[in-house]
Amino acid sequence: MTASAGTRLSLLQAVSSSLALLAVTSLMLGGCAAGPTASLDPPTLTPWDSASEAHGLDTRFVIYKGVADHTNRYRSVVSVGRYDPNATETDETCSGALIERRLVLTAGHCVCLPHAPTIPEDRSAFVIDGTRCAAEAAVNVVSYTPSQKFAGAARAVSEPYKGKVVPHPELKLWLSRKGMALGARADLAVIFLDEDVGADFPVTALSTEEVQPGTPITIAGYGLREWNARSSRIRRFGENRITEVLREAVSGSHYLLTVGEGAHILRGDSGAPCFHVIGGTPFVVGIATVVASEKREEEEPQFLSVFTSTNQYLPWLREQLGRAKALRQRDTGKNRR
Amino acid sequence: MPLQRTWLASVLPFITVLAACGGCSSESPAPSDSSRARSASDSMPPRASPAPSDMLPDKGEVSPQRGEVDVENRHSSVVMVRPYDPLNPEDDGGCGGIQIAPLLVLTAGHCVCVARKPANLTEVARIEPSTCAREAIVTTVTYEPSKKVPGAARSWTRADMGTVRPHPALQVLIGPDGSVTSSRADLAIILLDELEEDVTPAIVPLAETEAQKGDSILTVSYGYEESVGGAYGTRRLRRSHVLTSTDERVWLDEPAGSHSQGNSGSPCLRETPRSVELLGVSSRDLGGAPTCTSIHPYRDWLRDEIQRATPKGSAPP
Repeated sequence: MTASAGTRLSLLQAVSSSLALLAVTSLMLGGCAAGPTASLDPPTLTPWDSASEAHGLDTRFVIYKGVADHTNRYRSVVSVGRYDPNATETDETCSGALIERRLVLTAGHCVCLPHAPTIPEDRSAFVIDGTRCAAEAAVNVVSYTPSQKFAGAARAVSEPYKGKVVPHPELKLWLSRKGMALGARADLAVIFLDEDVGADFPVTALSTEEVQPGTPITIAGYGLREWNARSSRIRRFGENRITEVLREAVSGSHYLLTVGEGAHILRGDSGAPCFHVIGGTPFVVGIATVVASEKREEEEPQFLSVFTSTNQYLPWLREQLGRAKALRQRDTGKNRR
Repeated sequence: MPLQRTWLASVLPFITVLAACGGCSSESPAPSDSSRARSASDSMPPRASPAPSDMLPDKGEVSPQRGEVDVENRHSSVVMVRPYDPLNPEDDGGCGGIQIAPLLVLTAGHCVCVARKPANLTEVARIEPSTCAREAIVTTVTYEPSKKVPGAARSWTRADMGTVRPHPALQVLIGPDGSVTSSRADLAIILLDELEEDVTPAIVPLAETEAQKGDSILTVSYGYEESVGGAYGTRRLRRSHVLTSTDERVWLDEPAGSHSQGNSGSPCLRETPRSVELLGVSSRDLGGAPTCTSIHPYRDWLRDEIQRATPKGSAPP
């Protein structure tokens, strides 16, 4: 048991050191994070690790990260980041979805910082929970107009907003020393915007039905276009299919898994919504949590995208929607007076 | 026996993890960058030790790794440039440029002209006028500071197409190890088809004199920032000084760790107490050293191009 855990750790290290970006991350963490002294052994819980082994992967896999949303189909998908009132700029490094004119749904790890574990049960190097969240988050609403002159270009208008962060009360992620996710629970947070995005804004609704394996999904976000590539932060969307609905026993969390050819989440897509499109209308079924990649020699890696299923958290989400509506009505009343 | 599969689950916004060590700095760019820098060092003059701190501009709040964002829209003449590929129209380029006349954008030759691969691995790759794209996309970004969200800005982005006109003498030779063997006239003009907007940014004048050691340089670019997730497309200002210069090449004392890809073609502006003027065009991503191609030896060509692009009847700038 101990031996196998050790083997896995070294394999993870071998893979991560081959990825330049991860190597940088680990360097920066290693160089300055003084606090964490927790055991380096990853917890035995790695829900998507075992799931991935169950799926055969297509070796002809081609990375396909969707198309630019120049026709503005997913305007409700916004970029999200922690907001620091003293900073001279805002960093929107995540994505999210406007599910109400005053409410953005995103991943908890987008707005809350990792820290050393505070209880002995957490055997990972770092954890993310509700104790180190930013008070406020920055949100950018982006609208596109396709260029009349040539394909592949659009005008974009980006409008900044900010609001108060409320993480899910059960939020918890376990991270390795290199910042890799070993497990996650309720990786959700909402942002109550200071200001309404407008009465005519096409916000998206949450799905009230649980999705099944095989359900076609659309992923939309501001992440990078290709693995290890660099690109500008443009909203893209692409299609894929749910491979598996994982009901993880230990954490009690439900995840939607997508493996193989089709659109995947990449860096910057954390918090991005996964939609089930019914009759042309998108309904949120999941929020992007992590991507797992399989590194192959001289080949493009393959992906496993993991979304936190929103269905499981509908009672909490409805409560937040109710609060956002009440907030909006209260402010509207104030303005009238 | 099949290869054992190993999976790597990573939290997507690396900034979350990076931000965990606020205040610490790293001098480690991506390994590929540092190896490129090493391979290029042979062909470059030795870099002097970093400038003493009293020489550096007093901008305490600005991270040396990132540079400040141009939220005040002071440099809206600085644009993004990418060659137009009809088969891959969405492709993000990774270069900058500067409008030197309303319809004219100056960039680096290697931004819009590809390196023609050599017949065998021991020969050099060539960038020449014949290897240039016919057309390029120029993306302009306008910022306006947000009143509601302090520190944030509204932005407008638009794309225009133009014809690529490389300098006739353009020739960059790249060795098998990726280092620049020689570089001549690494400049290109993009002549925009039309400007649909009435917005004409303030045009920065061309420098009349050559670069001098110690000149204050402002580089304005949209480069990829690893610290914000490898994204491109935010206009940032970075300050440095001229270390040394030759006839057409200017070396800068860029602070360690500040390199991010996507800065080639961006303007190297000389700041004096009285003015800002265009000194050169960055070749930062070629060979890995912080250098600019000086426009000084090519100013006659630039003036001719500006003259040609200026509609008859209006005064040349």
